[in-house]
Amino acid sequence: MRKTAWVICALIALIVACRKETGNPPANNSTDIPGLTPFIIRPPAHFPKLPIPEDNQPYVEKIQLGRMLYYDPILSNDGRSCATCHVQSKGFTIDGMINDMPVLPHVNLAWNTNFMWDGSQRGTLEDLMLFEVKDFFGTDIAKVNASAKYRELFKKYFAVDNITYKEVSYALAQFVRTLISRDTKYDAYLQGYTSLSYDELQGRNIFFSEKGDCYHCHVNPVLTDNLLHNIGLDSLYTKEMDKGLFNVTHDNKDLGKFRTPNLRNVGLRKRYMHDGRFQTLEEVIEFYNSGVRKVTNLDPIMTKAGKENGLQLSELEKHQLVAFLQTFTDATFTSDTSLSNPQ
Amino acid sequence: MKYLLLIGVCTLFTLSACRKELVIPPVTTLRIDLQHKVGSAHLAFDSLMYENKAGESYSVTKLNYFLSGIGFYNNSQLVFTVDTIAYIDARTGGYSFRIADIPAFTYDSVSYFIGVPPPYNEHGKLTSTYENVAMEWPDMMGGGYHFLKLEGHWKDTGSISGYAIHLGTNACLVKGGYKASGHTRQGVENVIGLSMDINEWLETPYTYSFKSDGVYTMGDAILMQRISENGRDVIKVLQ
Repeated sequence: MRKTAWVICALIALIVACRKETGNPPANNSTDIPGLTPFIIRPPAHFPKLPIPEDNQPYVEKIQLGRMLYYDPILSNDGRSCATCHVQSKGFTIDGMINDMPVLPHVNLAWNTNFMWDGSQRGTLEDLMLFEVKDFFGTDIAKVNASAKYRELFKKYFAVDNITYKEVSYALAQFVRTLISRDTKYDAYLQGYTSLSYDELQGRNIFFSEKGDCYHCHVNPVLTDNLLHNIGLDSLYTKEMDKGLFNVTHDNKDLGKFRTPNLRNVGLRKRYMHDGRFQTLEEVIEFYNSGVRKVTNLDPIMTKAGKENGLQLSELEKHQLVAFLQTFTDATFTSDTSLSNPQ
Repeated sequence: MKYLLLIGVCTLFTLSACRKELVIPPVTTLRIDLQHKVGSAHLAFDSLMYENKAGESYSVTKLNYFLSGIGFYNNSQLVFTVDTIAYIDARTGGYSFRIADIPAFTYDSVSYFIGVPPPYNEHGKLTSTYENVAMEWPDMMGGGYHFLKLEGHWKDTGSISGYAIHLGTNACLVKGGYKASGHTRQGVENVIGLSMDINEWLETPYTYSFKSDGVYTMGDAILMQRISENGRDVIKVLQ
């Protein structure tokens, strides 16, 4: 009997000694609050991996708090909320303009590191939200602290007695990170759930070939390369706003460079380019077809031989390209109640 | 005796089962540092100050590529391969990666690929990072990934225009190599420096002229093949 026990002990000792550490490493998230519900953001398989800062991992409760703030005018001093200019039914933008510029939509921002038309904001979504709260809205943080509801929620979810810009921006980033358009007709096509019409397919061929060469900047499937380019809109920069990235860097090579807009829900928009100069997709395509200005820092991609005078698309091809761009419309995104005003 | 036999068998079985988990002391560590130059000078972006062999002034605004298949040879025998497909954006500066727990070796030449080896050159085969996705080569043009995006501007008798040298498709995988001897030593971090000379993309064996050859290679099999061949000596080992 003693011998049997010895054998068992020896075996257990060996197994324990050899056991590989297979458990998850301890969470490196100093802001983890016990009792919160982890939330897994699952972009479709054909999307790039979603970057999420270690110190702002998603939780159901924090996302809901961010959602409340997104729709709450408490953040501004003039009655506006984020949602005033980022209307869900419009793809989280609006038809009009702010400061003579179209409002860039809040869509799939979690993958971006350059923000604003002129790239004046860079970093994470948390950095962007900090800018929106502190500088854009000029949020009166005392007003937020004076709200019993927010004091309680930030205490529960962020473990703070005194709410700062940081916690507000982190909560907003939690929600904005979930604003993912993933359910367009084009996504369904990529996943084999649907087919495109003949015109849409021909438009896709134009978009993803040298004929249209849209794909170098509107990369598949995110539809933006997150970079800034001069696409030859202007040869003279008479208005300050037309100088783009130059206004940030004061480097001549950056004149007229603007961020590549995300094309998701592009068919819902009423204004295109940084100054809203075009009001239809047809006008946008006609610009690429015949209106590109030859400036010295024109993006090299747009200098292909034979296309010095534009894409040279026929009327039918332009129509087909528009048909394909319409497949980027995401009706789920614009109606998903989990993204709408919680009130 | 019966128990002793049982102990022996069980011990052998258990040790055998967990042998893979035993920690083997590291043999050596290799760090590969990569830098980008034009001739002997470090690459400076956005400056129209370089001159290619065809006598054209040019600048570089973008240099993104995949470096893979780095192999070390001794007496024509492969002695070590770096199992990495590295995405490099030269704008972010130099690039460095470390490989630990490798055997020490002696080498007299180094080979590399610029691009993605055929088994991985299909959409979705590389980790789905934003950078990798942005390097995808459209399906309708053959699929896979861009191996290289080298873009900038060049000057032609006073006027400035752009160029975009893009490489892709398996036939244009750049298979380069360079004679360089050395050895890695135990117990230290062995550093091997690699340097890409941008001028080499535009010369040897083919003197590439933006004016006469063209400013845009994507989709042009002949131009891509010329650039691919020029890429065979674009990386050198720093001694």
